Amino acid sequence: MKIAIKEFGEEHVAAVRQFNCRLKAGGATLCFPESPIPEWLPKSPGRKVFQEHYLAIDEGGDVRGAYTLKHQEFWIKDRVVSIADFRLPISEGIINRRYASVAVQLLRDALARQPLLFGLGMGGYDEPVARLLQAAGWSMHTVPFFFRIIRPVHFLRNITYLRRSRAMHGVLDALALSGIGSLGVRTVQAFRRRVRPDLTVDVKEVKDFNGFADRLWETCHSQYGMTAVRNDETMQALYPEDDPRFTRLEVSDRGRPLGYAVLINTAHTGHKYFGDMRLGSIVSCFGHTDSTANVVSAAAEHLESQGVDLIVSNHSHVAWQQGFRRAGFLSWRSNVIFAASKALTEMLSRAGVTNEQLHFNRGDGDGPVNL
Amino acid sequence: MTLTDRVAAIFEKVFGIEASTFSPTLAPEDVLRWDSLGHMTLVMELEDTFGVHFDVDELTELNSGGRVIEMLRAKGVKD
Repeated sequence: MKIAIKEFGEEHVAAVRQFNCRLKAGGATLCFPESPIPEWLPKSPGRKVFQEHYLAIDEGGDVRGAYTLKHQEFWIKDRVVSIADFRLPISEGIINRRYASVAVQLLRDALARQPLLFGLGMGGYDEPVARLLQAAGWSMHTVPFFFRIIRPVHFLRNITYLRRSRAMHGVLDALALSGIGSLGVRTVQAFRRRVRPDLTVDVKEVKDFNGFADRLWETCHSQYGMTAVRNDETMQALYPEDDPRFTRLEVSDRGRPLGYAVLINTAHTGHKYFGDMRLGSIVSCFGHTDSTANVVSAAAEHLESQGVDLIVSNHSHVAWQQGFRRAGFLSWRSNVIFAASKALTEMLSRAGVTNEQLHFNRGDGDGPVNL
Repeated sequence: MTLTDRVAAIFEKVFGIEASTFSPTLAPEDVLRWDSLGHMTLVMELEDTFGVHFDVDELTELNSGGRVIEMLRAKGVKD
């Protein structure tokens, strides 16, 4: 069985559709994009963050697997390096053992194209992709999850993730009806909150960062061990101003940029985790590492004013984790994992970058999906 | 120990099958743990044990016990 990896071209569209049909018929819930030009972050002249799709094609022209590389510039300790996110790997091996080898081929091919690879998300250590990367010797690190409950009754009534049994239904309904839940949630969050309103901090909602992200990037990127380049150009590519989902906040102190946040506010219906809640998400943050609590508080207050029931976020950098805790956020088990290839792990190790200095949030990797 | 015995021992370690049941016709469809993760573990075990490297295009050819042995021989591994 000879299988070769090729870049997705127009001539492969029909074969990708058939691949998706076979996956679906076999009971798989995953499918691969059916256009050779990525809908999100397509390649364009001069753009430094872009995606490419690759296909595993057999001798008969059938597609047996696929993956995407999201190329992006990252700051690592003292330099900017282009690395890539290994995304959407799908192999026909998930429905047909005959193709069990394809996933390994996809991963090795991606590494041959870009040895400095990472994966982000994956849904937990037991998921197939996470297990594959772990078996391949990648280093794995959990990106902590933070949440703050704004409307406890709505939360208790809708948190599908916790309402999995009749018993939990009963307990959560009782907590919601009795008022004990609200009281408990508010007490715990208030007790955890350590940041006080700062009258000199100015929070501005903007349509685009227009120089603000560039100024911030220049002054504070060296405070991070590893972070995606987050200048104006990259932020515009990731969170374009014509996309109505995103809210951008600039946070300054007497004219000095402290940080920014990109937010999403979504009214869910029947979500597998969040039921019918209005969910606020802090998808991306950046700024001075001593000002994280100010930025997180500003973001949370903005989302609260928009009527969200719950605010969620994932952050790996220790300063941002502290900022979330000081802003009254609680943490919970995270299913977001950062995995680094051997070459990237070695580069980080040589540069002396520790896990606590990695800056990844929910908007990195696959972007703000499922929010 | 012959090359076949050594490969059979690796199949036992990786897939949990009795080395005595190893045969050249053994394929992923016949072995419960020979899935994507199992194949990754097999490839890494073969590379570590025999000091060889499989190119991207060779990985999907390691699709039976017999092909594994043939490809190791082609890479200069002696019986």
